[in-house]
Amino acid sequence: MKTLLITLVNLFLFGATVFAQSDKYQKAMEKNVALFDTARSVPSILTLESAFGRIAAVEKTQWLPYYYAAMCATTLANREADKNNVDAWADKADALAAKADSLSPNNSEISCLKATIHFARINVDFMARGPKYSALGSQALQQALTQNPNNPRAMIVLAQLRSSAPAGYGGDKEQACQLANRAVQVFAQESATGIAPHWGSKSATKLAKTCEQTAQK
Amino acid sequence: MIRFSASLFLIVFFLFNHPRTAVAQAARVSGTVTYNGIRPLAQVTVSLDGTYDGAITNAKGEFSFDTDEKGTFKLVAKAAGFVDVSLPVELSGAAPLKLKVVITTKSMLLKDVVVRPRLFDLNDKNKYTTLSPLEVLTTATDGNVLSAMKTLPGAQPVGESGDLFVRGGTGTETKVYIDGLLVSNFTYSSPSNTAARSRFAPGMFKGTFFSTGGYSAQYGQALSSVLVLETEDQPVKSSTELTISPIMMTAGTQRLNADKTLSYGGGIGHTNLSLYNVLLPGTVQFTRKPAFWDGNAFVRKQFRNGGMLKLYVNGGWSVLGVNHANIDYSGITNRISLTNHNLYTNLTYRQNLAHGWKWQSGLSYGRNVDQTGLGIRFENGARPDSITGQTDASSLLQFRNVLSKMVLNRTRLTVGAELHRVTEQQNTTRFTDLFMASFAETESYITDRLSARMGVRVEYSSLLGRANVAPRLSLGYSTGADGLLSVSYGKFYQKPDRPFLLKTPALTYTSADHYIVSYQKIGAERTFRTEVFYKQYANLIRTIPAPNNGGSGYARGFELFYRDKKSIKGVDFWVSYSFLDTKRQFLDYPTAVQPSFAARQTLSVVAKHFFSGIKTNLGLTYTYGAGRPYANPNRSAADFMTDRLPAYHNLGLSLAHLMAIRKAQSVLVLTVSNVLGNEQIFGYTYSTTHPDRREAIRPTNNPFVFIGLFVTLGVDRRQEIINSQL
Repeated sequence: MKTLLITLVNLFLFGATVFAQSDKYQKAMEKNVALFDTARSVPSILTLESAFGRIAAVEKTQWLPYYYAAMCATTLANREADKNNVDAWADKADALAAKADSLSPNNSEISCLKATIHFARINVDFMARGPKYSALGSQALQQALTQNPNNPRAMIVLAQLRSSAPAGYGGDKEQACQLANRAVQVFAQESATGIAPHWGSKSATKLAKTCEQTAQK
Repeated sequence: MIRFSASLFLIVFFLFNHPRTAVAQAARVSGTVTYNGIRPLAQVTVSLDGTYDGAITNAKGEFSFDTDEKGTFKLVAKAAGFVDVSLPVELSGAAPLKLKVVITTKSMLLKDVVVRPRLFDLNDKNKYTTLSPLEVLTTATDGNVLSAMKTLPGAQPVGESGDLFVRGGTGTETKVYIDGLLVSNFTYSSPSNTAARSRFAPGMFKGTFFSTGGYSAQYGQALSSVLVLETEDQPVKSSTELTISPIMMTAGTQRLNADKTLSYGGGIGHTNLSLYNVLLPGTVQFTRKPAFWDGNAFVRKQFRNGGMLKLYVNGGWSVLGVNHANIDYSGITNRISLTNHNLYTNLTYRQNLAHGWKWQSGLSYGRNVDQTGLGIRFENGARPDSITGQTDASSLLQFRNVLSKMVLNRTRLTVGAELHRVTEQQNTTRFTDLFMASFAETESYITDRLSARMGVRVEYSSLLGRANVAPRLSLGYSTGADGLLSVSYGKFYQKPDRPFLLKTPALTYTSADHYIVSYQKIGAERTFRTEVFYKQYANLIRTIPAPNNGGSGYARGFELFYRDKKSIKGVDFWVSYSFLDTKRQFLDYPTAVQPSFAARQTLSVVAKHFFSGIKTNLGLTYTYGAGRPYANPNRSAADFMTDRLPAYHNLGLSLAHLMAIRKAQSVLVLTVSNVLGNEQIFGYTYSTTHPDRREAIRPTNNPFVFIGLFVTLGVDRRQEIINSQL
């Protein structure tokens, strides 16, 4: 009986520690993801990138810190004024995405993330890189949509590609609008809080609106 | 019991969760990170190892963060390009902690990719002019890699040859390497005094590096310059490409497997100038219109261990026939025919080995046969007995092995060896040469700003029965964020050209010493480079009385290069200017003179703009070359090469229009060389029997117009996944 009691106590102690740890993780992520949702300035994104990086380094088994760190690095690649530095950020994002991928294989969100990294690289030299990286990005998006046909982020990123690329190079305005409208519907059912990826709703609404205006003309 | 456990659980839960928020007080950890206590470092990641807490430094190297942790921790500072620093910290609670983190050691091993301004760059390619495949495509108005190089400083506008003439050197003083392996017949065969194009499509190379002197010990047998080409790794996706033009048709396909580790493909091409010469007849009278048949195939395999194997095979066959009035005897026509067979194979493998070694290996075999026929036709018809034929066969089998490794944290060591088996044959005269070379080179940082590359190359040729030792040295000093001042010295050896070795094998290496001072400032959108050079030639081949190594010469001058993608919105332009003062006594030159292939001044301006509205890229290339000397046999030896050709002007235009044909991405290309129709004379051929008779050497077609449609058909069916969902 006594042994059982000790075992039970130990079990609870252990369970509580784990619970406390994951609670700490949850809280840190909630705080940083909330910041991520509103972060606009480069210094704030830099700070978030390192914050997610530190959480990832401690947790080691969670894919979300890596995912968000990679999202931050991709944003920094897009915001980088010096074209010589874009690839370094994209490389970093790729490395983080690869870690996330190894922790959560076959994840539609990570495939979508990879697509955005490819697109970030195009900015360095639009003419030279456009064909290669838009093809790679669209392949990654196709994969994201195969893994989860209802991933609204993959839909909106693809819609943006279809809307901006020239015809013959992945451009298709009509399809862009269809995708944007579908993304808006899915976003409406999705929670806009929590630590799971939930970005993209605003872009979808904006593109859907542009489509509507174009259709009216 | 159950109730007891439940209450225990609650207690435990409370103990482990709430004290943290109730009791713990955040302590502030702040400080600065510097390099050697002087220079503040920005964007350094500072963290308490094993916790979520940390920060990154600002532009002043300052950081600060709050932490609830207590006890002994490791504070780790990580900065790209530096060795990580960790120091123990004791966190007792409320007391703030102020720290000075000093980073002392630079590292060239980037463990984590972190973005920061470039401190230094030891990459040798820094010293080369680099063009991306697209830049080559949109600059070269004829789809010829070499034409794009001719717009860069150091290259001479020599229109009568397809070779690259660099800084007073002959065309054979420039060598082309593909993935480290020498290519001996980079261009198609052509009759003398006509320029030939490259056999290799610009699109197959991911990187093009053009060195106009002082190059690395990894390359040799080129007195003036090397053009280093790197082939693409795996393609992005499977596709099929077609080219449709009145002068050529090509079809190529590439397949990529699902996990992107294996690709293979091939293509065939046929170029035929028959129709072109009917529409726009040039100066040359063809008896057989130039026709070229080409085929190529490739396999690229990425292994699980990271190794990359590439095989490339290219074969070609071409024929042409020309009628040319004999300049020595009137009423006689020379009938020249040229048939060429060419094979080039290139097999390379690269892999990272244990202990940081990188290994690169290559095997290549190339064979080229030119059959030239010369017939004399009298006005009353051909006389079969007067036809002479000449067969020139060359083969090159080579093997190359290179190992490199980072040593001592700040130095890269590269060692390698190559072995060539060369055979050359003209009719029944032939020779075989076993050529060996080995090299060792280090690239290192002596201080933060000062870098050095030291190399030595040892070569031995069995035919010449001699070895040579060629030292190479280059020092770089970085001035500010993107400026680099460098000085280079190198000794370069080259075997005498084929025709001399066929006649007289008892020759020795020709040689050149390069002294170069250069300054460059490379920004994201603007590049400026200037170079001053001096090149001393020795042991050049003289042909009088018999081939010997008695020639010599020098070349000196300066070059300017400015490239700007920013100042004019959407326009990428560059300007190259070269000043060249050179004299040499070689071949049959009676004295040391400025040779016929050297222009004193050369200017190139290239501008490109993409009109996004009409999806069309416009490229303009203007080249000016001061009048080059030519030999006039009517002058005395004292006045040898004193005549000058008219200056060379060439304005090239290229238009590329992107469009979709049934959703297949297509590019319609129109290129025109010498749009303005300026008269271009590359030299004169004088009659040996009547020195008063001469004939100008001109471009075969002036202007030359090319129109073609390039269509890429994706063979990807994945698109349908999206469509099925909508």
